[in-house]
This record gives sequence, C-alpha cells and structure tokens, in this order.
Amino acid sequence: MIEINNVSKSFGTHPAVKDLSLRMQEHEVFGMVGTNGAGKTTLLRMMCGVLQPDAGEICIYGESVYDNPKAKSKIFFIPDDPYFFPNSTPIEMGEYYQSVYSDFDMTRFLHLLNNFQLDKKRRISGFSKGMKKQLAIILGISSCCKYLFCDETFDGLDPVMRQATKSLFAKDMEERGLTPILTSHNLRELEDICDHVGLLHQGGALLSKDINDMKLSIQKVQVVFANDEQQHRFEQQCDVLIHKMQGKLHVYTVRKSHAELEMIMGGISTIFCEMLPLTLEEIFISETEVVGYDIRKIILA
Amino acid sequence: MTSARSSLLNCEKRVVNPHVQMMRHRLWIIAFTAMGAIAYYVIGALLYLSQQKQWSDGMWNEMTALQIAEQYTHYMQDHVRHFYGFCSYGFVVVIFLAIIMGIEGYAYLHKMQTMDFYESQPLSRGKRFTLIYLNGWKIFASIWGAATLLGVAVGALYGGMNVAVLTEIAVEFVFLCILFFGVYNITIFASTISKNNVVATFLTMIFLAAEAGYRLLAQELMEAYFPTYYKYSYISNAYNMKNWFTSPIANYVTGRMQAVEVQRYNLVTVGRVGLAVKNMMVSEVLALVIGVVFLVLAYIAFCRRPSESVGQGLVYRWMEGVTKIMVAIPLGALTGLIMDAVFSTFYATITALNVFMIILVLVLFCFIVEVICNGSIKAFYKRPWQVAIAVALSFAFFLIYRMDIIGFNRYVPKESEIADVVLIDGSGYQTYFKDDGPYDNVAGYNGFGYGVDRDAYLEEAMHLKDIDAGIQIARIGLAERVKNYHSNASWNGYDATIMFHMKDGSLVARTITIPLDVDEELMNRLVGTDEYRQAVYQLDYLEGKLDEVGMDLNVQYSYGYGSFSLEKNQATVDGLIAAYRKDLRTLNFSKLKNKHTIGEIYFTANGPEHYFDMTYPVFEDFTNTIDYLDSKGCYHTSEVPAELVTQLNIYGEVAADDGKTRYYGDLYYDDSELAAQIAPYLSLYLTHDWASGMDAVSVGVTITGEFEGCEYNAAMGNYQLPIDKLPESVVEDIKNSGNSYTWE
Repeated sequence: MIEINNVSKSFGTHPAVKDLSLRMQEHEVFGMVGTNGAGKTTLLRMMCGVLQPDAGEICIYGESVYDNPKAKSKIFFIPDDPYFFPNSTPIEMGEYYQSVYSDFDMTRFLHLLNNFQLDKKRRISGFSKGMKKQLAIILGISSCCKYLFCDETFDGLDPVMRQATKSLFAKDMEERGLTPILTSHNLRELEDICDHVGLLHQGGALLSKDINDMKLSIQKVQVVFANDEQQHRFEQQCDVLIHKMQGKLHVYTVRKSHAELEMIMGGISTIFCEMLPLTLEEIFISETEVVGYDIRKIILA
Repeated sequence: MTSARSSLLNCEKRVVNPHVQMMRHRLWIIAFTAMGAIAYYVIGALLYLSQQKQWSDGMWNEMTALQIAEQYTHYMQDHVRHFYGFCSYGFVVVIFLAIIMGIEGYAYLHKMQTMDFYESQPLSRGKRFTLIYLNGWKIFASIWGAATLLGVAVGALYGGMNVAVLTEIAVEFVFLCILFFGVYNITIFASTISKNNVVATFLTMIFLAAEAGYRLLAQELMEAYFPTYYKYSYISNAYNMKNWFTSPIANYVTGRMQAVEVQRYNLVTVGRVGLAVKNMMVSEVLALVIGVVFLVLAYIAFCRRPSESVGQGLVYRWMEGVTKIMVAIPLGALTGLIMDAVFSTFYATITALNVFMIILVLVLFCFIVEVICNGSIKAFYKRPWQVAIAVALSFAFFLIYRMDIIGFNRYVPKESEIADVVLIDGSGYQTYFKDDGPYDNVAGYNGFGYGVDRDAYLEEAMHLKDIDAGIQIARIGLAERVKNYHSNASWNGYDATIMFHMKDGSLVARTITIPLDVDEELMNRLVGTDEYRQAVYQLDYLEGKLDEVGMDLNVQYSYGYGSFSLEKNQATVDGLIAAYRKDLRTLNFSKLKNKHTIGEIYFTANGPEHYFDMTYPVFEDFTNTIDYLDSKGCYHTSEVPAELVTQLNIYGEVAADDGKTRYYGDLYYDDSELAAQIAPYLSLYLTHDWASGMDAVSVGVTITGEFEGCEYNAAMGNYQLPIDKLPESVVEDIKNSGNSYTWE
C-alpha cells in the first residue's frame, strides 16, 4: 500500500502540493485527475522518489520512498515525456533496465515489442510520440514492478493502443498483482479502467473514492409524476443531488442505493419511470457539488 | 533461424555491467578522450621527435661515430623528456577533458526529463554519484594510461628512453592524474550546484581562476598603487606566489615552473627527476587536498540537491548573489586599474570618469548575471540591492590599494617585534654566489651571470642589529618614496630596499628612497657595521675556494685604464683577502658616498662545479690592500696622465640660469690643454650608487703611449668630473649643442 501523509511541496513561493493525504490500495487502478497545475505530476514525482516532499511523508509498504532503492525497486515511473538514451534502440533500453531492475523480464519485453510491432533494433529517436509511449509502457510492464506510475500515459496513444495497454494492465493485475497509478487531466479517459479515483485541485485532494462505492450510492432516474403531490413525496424521501426538468419529465440524481430507490419508487404514483446509468463524470459532478465545487469548471471545461 | 534464436537467448540472459552500460552512452566522451590522448602522445610526439631528429643531423660533425651516437641518445632523451615529462603540454588536454567529463557526466541533473529517468530508478544518490564519478575516472585513466605507454614506445623508437626519462614520464602521469582529480572534482561540484550546463561551465571557470585572479589582481594593484611595494626579487611576494588553495591548475603550473628551473641544464638523470619531484611536491599535495575537498563538497551537494533544480542559475539563490558579488569585486577594481593605466593617473586624485566607469561596468555585469540566472532579458533589473553591495565592496577593495587605506606605504613594524634589519642598496654592484642548498633553484640570471639572486642572498646573509636606525631609515625612506611618486619634480634620492626579519619568522620588506641629504651618521649605524660589510662583501666565499680541484683562477687589479694579474696561487689570494679585510673595517656610508674608488679587484674563476666572478672596490685609504698589491708589483695610481691623453669624450648635463632648463651634450675634444686642466680632478667612474648624489659629468678618456698594465700602448678609461671643475668653455659648448629639456 502507498501512504501519502500530509505531503506538501512548493517551488519557490508557489505551492504545488498542499498538505495532501491519500491511500492507494494494491490490486486496483488508482486514477488521479485534475487540471493542469493541479499537482498531479508533482505528486507522482514525489511518489516515485524523484522529488523530496517539503513536509510529510510518502511510504510504500511503510518505507519512505525518497532516496530509498528498496522502496524504488517496487516502482516504475513512466513520465509524460519518457527519456531514452540518445541514439539508443529498444533492445539497448531493455538491457539497461535489465541491469537496473532485478526482475526485468527480457523475454516478455521482446515478446511485447513484437506484439506492439516495435522494431527492437530501430533507433528510438526515429519513433513517433505514440511509439515512444508504447515502448515506455512495455519497459514498465517488463520491469515486473509492483507499482506502475503513469503520467498522462494515454495521451498520444491511438484508441487501439489505448485499449491494448489497458488490457496489458488488466492481465498483469490479475497475474502478478500490478497496481497501476495513472494521472490524467481528462476524467473520461480513466473512466473504464480506474477502480479508485482521486481528484486533485490546486495542490490538494478534493476527494478520493472507490468508483463502485460512488456508483452504488448515487442513482439517476427519469420520471413523470402522476401529480405534484407525488413529486413532493418523492423529493421528501430522497437525498436529491441534481434535479433537471423538461416539461413534465424530471431527471433526478439522488444519493440512494439501487434497491432503496426501487422501494421508494414502488410507493410513488408515476406515469413513467426509468433508472438511468451514471457516467463517472456525473458521479463526480454530484460528489463535488456537495462539497461546494463546480467540477465542470475544474476538469470538464 | 538458429542464429536468430541464439541471439535472442543471449540477449535475454545478458545483464550488462553498469559501467559498461554507462560507457555505451558516453561513447563520444571516450572518442574525445582517445583523440586528445592520441593527438598529443602519438601524433604530436611523432611530429616533434621527427623534427628534433632532423635538426640533429649534422649537429656533431666533428665527432667520432661513437661520440655522435652518445650525443644523439642524450639529445633525444632530453627531447622525449621534454615532450612527455614535466615540460609536457599534455596538461592542457587533461584540463579540457576533466571539464568535459565532469559536465557531461552530471548533465542529467540539469534536465527534468533525465531526472525523472534516473531518480525514479532503484539506486541511491550516493551510489549513482560514485558510479558516474568512477566511470569518468575509468575512461580517463585507461585511455591516458594507454596513450602514455604508446608515448613510451614512440620515445623508445627514437632512441630517447632511459630509466630517468621513464621515471619522469611515470611521475608525470601520476601528476596529470592529480590534476585531473582536482579539475574533475571542481567541475562536478560546479555542476551539482548549477541548474544548467552553461552556468556549470562558467562556474567551473570561476572556481579554477578565482584565486589566481584575486591574487594576481592584488599583486597588480600593489605594484601600481604602492610605490613602496617590494617586487624585485625571488623572495618577493610575486615570486613566492607558489601555493594555491583552490586551483589545482595554478598548483600544477607552479610545480612545472619549479621543475623547469631544476632541469634547465637538460641533465636527464634520476637524481634530477627526484629533485624536481621534491620541489613540486608541495604543489602536488595541495592540488590533491583541493581535489579531496571539492570531491566531498560535490558529494554533499549532489546528495542534497533538490531534483527540481533545473533551468537557470544556481541551485540556491544565495549562491548566485555571492558568486555575482565575488566576481564583481575584482572586476570593478580591474576597471579602475585599467582606467588609471590608460590615463596615467595612478598617483593623482581619482577621477569622476574612473568612478563612473567602475559603476557602469559593475551595473552592466550585474544585469548580465541576472539575465543568465533568470533566463530572461527582462529580468536584468532584479535584485538591485546586490548591485549596490557589489559597487560598495568593489570600491572598498579598489580604494584599499588606490588610497592606501591600510597604510601599506607608511607601515614600519614595532621595534619589539623586529629581530634584525636588512638594507640593500639599489646599485646592483655586487654579484653573489652560493654552493650549498638547492643551488640551481635559488640561482637565476641577474644581469651579470649565474649567481644567486642578490636580494635573496643578502636577505639571508645580513642581520643588522641597530633596529632603531633601521626603523628611522625606513620611515624616512618610505615618506621620501611616496613624496617622489606624488610629485612632478625630478627624482631625488637613493633607491634601496629595507627588510625586517621579524621575531615570528616572517619578513617585512619595502622599497624605499633614501634622501640625498640623509643623516650620514644614521646611515653609518647600519652600513658602518661588520654585519653589513661581511654580508655585502662576500669575502668568506672566496677563502679556500681557489684550492678546489680544476678551478681556473684569475685575480686582477684594475686602476681605470690598465690592469694587473696577480699570481695564480692560494697564498697570494689569501694575502690579498687578509689585507682587504683589514681595510674593509673602515668602510661606511660616508666613505661610499663621498669618496671615489681608485681601482677594483676582480676575482674570476671557472671550475668543474662552479663559475663565479666577484668585484671589490679599492679606496685611496685602503692602505693595506694598496701596499700588498704594490708588493706584488700590481699597483698603479688611477691618476690620469694628461700628457698621454689623446681624446676626451665629455657627456653630461649643465643647468641653465633659470634653474629649470638643463642642457646636455656628448662632446669630443683632442685638446691637450683641456686634458691637463681637468686631469687632476678626474676620478674613476666606479663609484657606489650612494655617491650618485655628486653633480658630475662623465668623461671618457683615450690614452695613447707606454704605461704599466697595458699591452697595447693605448687604452680607454671612464671617469667622472665634478661639475664645478668643468671649464667654462665646455659648459658653453654643452649649452650650445642644442640639446635641452625643461623640468617643471
């Protein structure tokens, strides 16, 4: 488990991360979202031991990460703009990482290069941005580290490769308990892969929740009430987060479980009633509005 | 298929050594090092030695084949030693490589992309530092070592190798490694506290040059603004600027200079190499210590360096300010010095233009530094308070010298702190010799021959006990010298050096100007002492010296237009020295100032070990010496026989009535009446510097006829004639010669 306890980091007079605390469990995909400058990359760099927090501590299995090879041996960092040695080839980078990470799986590395159709002897300097990202992901996967930190990793990948990468993560999570930690400024990008999402804003964590928990506790329903009294009864029984109306059609986002909502609807006289699926975006809108933020201004603008 | 599979299998199993991994990505550094080493050690050597071989052809035509072979071997040994040994220029390449390797090795610190790459890997900072550090060393030492071996082979190919040369090359390799160690570590330290490579390179240059820059500038400022500053000898501060505390390059160069002095006779022996190494050892040890200190600093700076420190300027903001001000201080002073040099205003009141230029240069410098540190031209105005500090400190530094704020020109030590006094006249009349100690290291060409440095010898040999007289003379001499420098009037006084051996072992030395009208009794308290005479007239050195095996001795007495040679035996010489020693007891300042010499005794000797020539003045009251010479048939009066004078050459100046204009002339006469008129007043032009206060003209006398002490019946002698004895007709001739100048 990764524990981030009251971590702060400033660059000069500008605070990048402010008193932030998070927990990241194993075997689940943790997604960090936030606008540019929210502190995602800074936090990720601190988690990888690249930056030293000004205050607080970041621990992996109870051990501080900064300048600690033992803790760092469990992590692999894929930055937004990965570095490769000048004039190097994929095979040379593989050999380098093999000398750095004791569990580096060269067989798998070569296999994945082949699968992703990356020429192992071609100079990386001739690769496209997407190919470089693919190579970085392959190197990270092949390092067999417990934690894979990906900074805006899906940026620049085409949909097919994005899906292939997600599949790779899923496979390794299942087979060896890989824990990917992803950052993105785009909530929609992480929706279908993350188990847990943390929302960063201005250096702090607005919220950090399990997506399933959020989905289970918030429901969306569209309904046409038989009369106004029925509407009034419904609103009294539900914790309404969002209410929209088009003519007589009402769309409610409410804080209730699916079963509870069904029970309430059973006692209400309606002309039409339908339960609708919630997007991660909608869940976030609902959650953040509760704590006084307009998420659309933060990450969806 | 098989080969492809096996290749794949090999690839899967192979875990490459981290150093090999690193070297793979430093190939151009390896190539650069190899090119530098081969260019100097192989290509350069082949060119140089081929040229020397070509030049040696026909050099020993008169010799037998065996002798030629021997000479050629010695000649080539010397040149191989010269190219690869302590005189090698390979150090320039080493310095360059150390800087390149230090900057390149730690360049990853200056880019966030590479910081993400390296710092996220499971390797501690300490281990990464060590890995990169040792990798640089491995590249340098292996390539430079191999090149040195190639150099030995090239040297042997040209027949210039022996044990001494080999030893020197091996020692030089070690010393070059020490140089690399120091420069490499300084570069790494600069790199670890810089935010980009350009700044790191600049900072490296500053670290390497700062101490030399400060000390040399201080030296220049002292020479420019302190007229009493003593600088004319091997014992001066300038010459003794040997130990450097922050620059391995300065230490290396200093060491080489000392080695070159030891080796100037081109003697290629193990003993000479050992002596050179002994002389260089302090410099090398200092370079080593500097290297260790910077290595520790670099390691600490590396381990504590915040990873986000990439971009412009230095890692810590305060370092930028300190560096800026430390560079600004000498820069402002240098500007002031240059301005004074351009307008020749060293001793005038500081001009407004000078002040303006200093401020302008400092402000511009601070602006440029801010632009570099912030990476933006718009940031030039930032931290203006640092400009104010830089200007204030730079002016303070400059004015310490310019206005003598510390009272350097007035300083005379306290009597209680002085052990004894040294007074050296400015005549340079005597030359001195010394056998013991590192003769060659002390010796230097002093204008007369290879003797010991005059001031160095006298500083060591003279211990005058009348400290009160020394202090009084120092005060008078310092004041007179400063007055002369700040005055437009003609220079008056005797230039001299006064030194105080302090009880704590230190030496205080000043150049002074003793007024012409100095109290003779005061001067006699120093000059009229056995301590003074014994040191200045090095008679002890001569005793027994002439009995040395193979010593070819000549003792001559010259009386102006003729001379006599004494018998070549120790008894004669001892008798002469004994007689002279008795007469010397009467010598003091009054005699040197007011009396003319009537002749000189020359001792010249060539021996297997040494060559020396020494000169001793004879005054008319040196009766013991005169009698002794007379008894050996070697004395003749210095009076000019007017009847034999065939030509007079009168050169000198006479004052005009206005007291400001002076006429000068160089006139020739063959007038026997004029010769008869001035002959009784002519005295030998061999007077001491302290007699220069006499107002006289110089007279060249050509004598033709038979007289003792001359084989050719003709001779020339140089004399001087007091100005008041110059006939009016000659005065008029000088005035009418058309040459004059006016002294304001």
